[in-house]
Order: sequence, then structure tokens, then C-alpha cells
Amino acid sequence: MNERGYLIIAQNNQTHDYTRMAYALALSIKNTQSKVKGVSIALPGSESHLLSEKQSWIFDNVIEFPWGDAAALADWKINNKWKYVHFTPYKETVILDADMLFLSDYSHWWDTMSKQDIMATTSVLTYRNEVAKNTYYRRTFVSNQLPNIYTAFMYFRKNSKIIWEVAKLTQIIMENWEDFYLKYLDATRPTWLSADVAYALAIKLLGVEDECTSKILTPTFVHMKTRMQDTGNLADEDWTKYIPTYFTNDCKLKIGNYQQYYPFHYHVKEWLTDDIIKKLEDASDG
Amino acid sequence: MSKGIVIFAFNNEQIDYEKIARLNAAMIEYNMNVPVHIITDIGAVAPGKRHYKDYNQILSFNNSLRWNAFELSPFDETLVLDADYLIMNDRFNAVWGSKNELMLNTDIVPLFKDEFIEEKRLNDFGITMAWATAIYFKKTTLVEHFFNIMKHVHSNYGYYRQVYEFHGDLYRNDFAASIARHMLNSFTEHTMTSIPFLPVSKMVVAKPEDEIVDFKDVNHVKVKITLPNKPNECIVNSIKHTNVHFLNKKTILDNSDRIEELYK
Repeated sequence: MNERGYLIIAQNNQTHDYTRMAYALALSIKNTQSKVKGVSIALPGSESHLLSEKQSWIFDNVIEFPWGDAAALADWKINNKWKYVHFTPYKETVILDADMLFLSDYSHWWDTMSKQDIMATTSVLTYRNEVAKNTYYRRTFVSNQLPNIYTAFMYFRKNSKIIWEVAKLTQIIMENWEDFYLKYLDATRPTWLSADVAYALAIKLLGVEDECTSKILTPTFVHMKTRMQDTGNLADEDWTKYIPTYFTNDCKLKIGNYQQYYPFHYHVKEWLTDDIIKKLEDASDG
Repeated sequence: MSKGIVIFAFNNEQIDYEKIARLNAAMIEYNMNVPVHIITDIGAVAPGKRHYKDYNQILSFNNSLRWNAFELSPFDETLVLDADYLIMNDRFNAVWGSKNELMLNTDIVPLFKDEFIEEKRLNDFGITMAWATAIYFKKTTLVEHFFNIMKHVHSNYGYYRQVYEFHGDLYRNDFAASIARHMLNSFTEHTMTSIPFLPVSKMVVAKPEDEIVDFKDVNHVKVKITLPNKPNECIVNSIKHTNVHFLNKKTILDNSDRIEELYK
């Protein structure tokens, strides 16, 4: 078993090609990381053919979800996200959302993360590098005192007891999420299954918040959901209409006037253009 | 290490900036006991025009050439101030001997709470506004870069206006300082290497409509504050031992005799 690596679940829906996004993310990881470069992708068996030969080459492992596709009928396909610990090929894993890019070397974060059995991101950044304080998207976390975790970048150690307990309870929550939301969350509960809420609720119910959350800024990422950007009353969820992108040939990214250094969670899937992927490929070939 | 204050003062058709600078120099020397170096017209750059609310006239406006502070300051440690940033305490003396090479502020505070004076950023999605009203610097390579960038912004103002998406053709030192700060902060905010704030991290600002009623005593001024969005309503505040950036130049000049009397 490999020591450390990144793991991405990619399930396409009717509108978005998540394997393409995972491919871009994997390219960016290979281009930027000095020590931990392993990247694996997990797909439902029915979609493994969607990964092209060129795309599959970048991944160290292409894994089929165990126990079938729990999200086969869902449009927002997160129902398999409790399974990470069961199929990760790494002793230490960072799970990532597919719609992210790596922009500089975060290898040193692993030494900090490995001091805990689980370390979920608890504070995210605006594109200006400020800690995002807007809780518009986190009302149920605030109202129900859930740990403010983001599973888009979450570390765990496979041989720890806590991750198996958290995964087991998260499985039960995800499979019965409406009942759990009704029983444990107040009226701010979301009306859809959220991986962040499910994991946070499991962590809270198990009383392992301190063991699972980061007390420092890292790990972190830039979260491009519009209302987190501290841009006044802007409510349009498509931030790309208002803030320009500059992606250079050597894969440096500026959003507006701000250079990006942290993992970039672009959220608006259309942001990832073929031009960006081409530049990532060229950098990888070069 | 020599230390002192530098003030730029360029008169226009109506406003005697040199006189304001001399009044402020007297206040600085009284409160801070440091030498003040006033730089007057060096005639290198054609001034722009802007509307002055206090005079209700369009007058020449030349606040460029601030980048020359690096070259023209006779001091090893310099605090460059706007002429109309009236100094009424000694708190800026905390800058001398600082380990920092360069310090400037991004926050201002209005005289009346919640009063709107200026955007916090150059545009809604843009960089944080920094204020050239007060800049502390030593003569180091980093600081030379800072002022060189300000000069470059001035020379290529149209380009930077597009890149940073701010409005207006009139060159502003505040915008150039904001861009220079942003660049030297590695094009981001809140890094370990960010340019630090001055010891007085929030500058108190009196907007152009606000008027000095009276200097009651040394470092004690009564100001008539026009209420936000209510031009016919005002309150009077008594301000003691607080540095105030008066955007109303006329009101400073109208009270010049009293200032001279108090700080002679």
C-alpha cells in the first residue's frame, strides 16, 4: 500500500463532466507537488469507460466504488462519499472535490495533518486570501453547532479507529439522511443530502470534534462560492461573470487582481476551460 | 539615524497648501518634536483638475510626485504626511526605530459613526485601498521598489486603471500606493510578508463638508459635522488629542490665525 496520496470521487451527472475536472486536478497536483504526488480516482463501474486513455494515465489508481453506485439515481452525486476509507489505496489520504486545482506545493501540510487521525478543513479563504467569514451557506452548521468542516479537502489515516467510526455513522446518515436531518437539525436543515453536513453530524454525534478538525489555518482552500467573497450584495452564484481569470502558460492563476496560492475550489464548473486544461497538460509534458 | 517628517505642498489657484503645511509643521513640532521638511512645487508634472467641495470650484490638483519622497527626504527614517492631516498628538513617534522598512494604513475612520467616506476597495472585486496620507519608510531597496511602482503607476495610469478597474482619470497617490502595496504583498492579502500598518492604524477623516468651529485649545478642536445624507443637519463634536485628516482645506486656512497663535 502506498503511503500518502490524494483521492477524488468523480461521478458525472447530466450537466457536468466530473472526470474531466478530476483529470485537471490530477494534472495540477502532478505539476505542483514535490513530495506527495499520488492521485487516485474512484468511479462507478458503469462510468469507467468515460475516462479516456489520456486521462487515466495521470491517475495512479482507477478504482471502482465498492457495493455499487449509491448515487445512481441522484443528480448531485455525493451518496458514495462515505466509502472513501473502504477503497483508498493509501495509508494516509486527502480526499478532494473534483472541481479544484492545486497551485503551489502543499507537501509540508502532510506533516501537520498526520498529527491527527482525521483533519478536516475548518476555515476557507476568499480569493483575496482572507478567511471567509460569511456564513450564508453554513446556517445549519451555525444553528446546530456542527463542526464547520469542509470535506472538499479532508485528511484521514486509514489505520485509525476514529475514521472507521466516522465513516460507519456517515454511511448510516447518508442512507437515512432525511430522518437524521429531521431528528438532529433544526429548521435550517438543508433539503438535500450534503456530504459536509453528513460528516459534520457524524463527528458531532460521536463527540470527536477536537480529534477531527484543524485548529490552525491549514489545511485550507480558496472557496469561490460567491457570497463567501465579501463582495457586498452580490448574489449571483456565477462569480465568473464579475471577476476575471488570468491563467498563464506556466499555470499561475490570478483571480481579479489576486494571485492564487492555495488549492482553488472554483465551484462554477464552466470555469474550467479547455484552454486551462491544455496549459496544464503542456506543463505536465514539459 | 536621522528622522523627520516630509510634507508635500503644491499651491493651486485658490488653496495655499504651503500655508497649510506650515501650520501643520508647527503642530507636528509642538507635539512630536521632530523636524519637518516641506517640499513645494518642483514643477515636473502638469496638475490635473478636480472639484473641491469646500470651495465649490474646479481647481488644479497636484498630489503626484509623492514617489519622490524616497529621493527628496533628507532623513534616514521618514514619515511622509499629507499637509492637511493635522497632527494633534505624539503617537506617530512610535514609528521611529521600527524594525519595519515601510508602513501604511488601509483603514480610515469617519468623524461620525457609520459615515461613508470612501470605498474600502478600489472596486467591488478589487484590491484593498491603502492610504498615502501617512507613509513611514526607511531608505531600503524594498521601499525604493515601492516608490518606483508608484511612479510607474503614474506613468501608465490608463493601463493600471483598466487592470485594477478604478474610476477617474485624475491620478491619486492613494490608488498608486494601493497598487504598489498589493504588488509587494505578492498580489494577495494577509501573508506573512504583508506591509504592516502604522502605529495609528486607523486614520480619522473629516469629510469636505465638515468645518472647524474653533480651536478651543492646543490639540482641542470643535468640528461641525454634517450628517450623512442630511446636508442641512449637523452636530458639533469636540475632538482632543486626535490626529484628523481634514479634507476641507478652506476650514484649515480659515482658522490659521488661531492655529498659529496656539502652536507658535
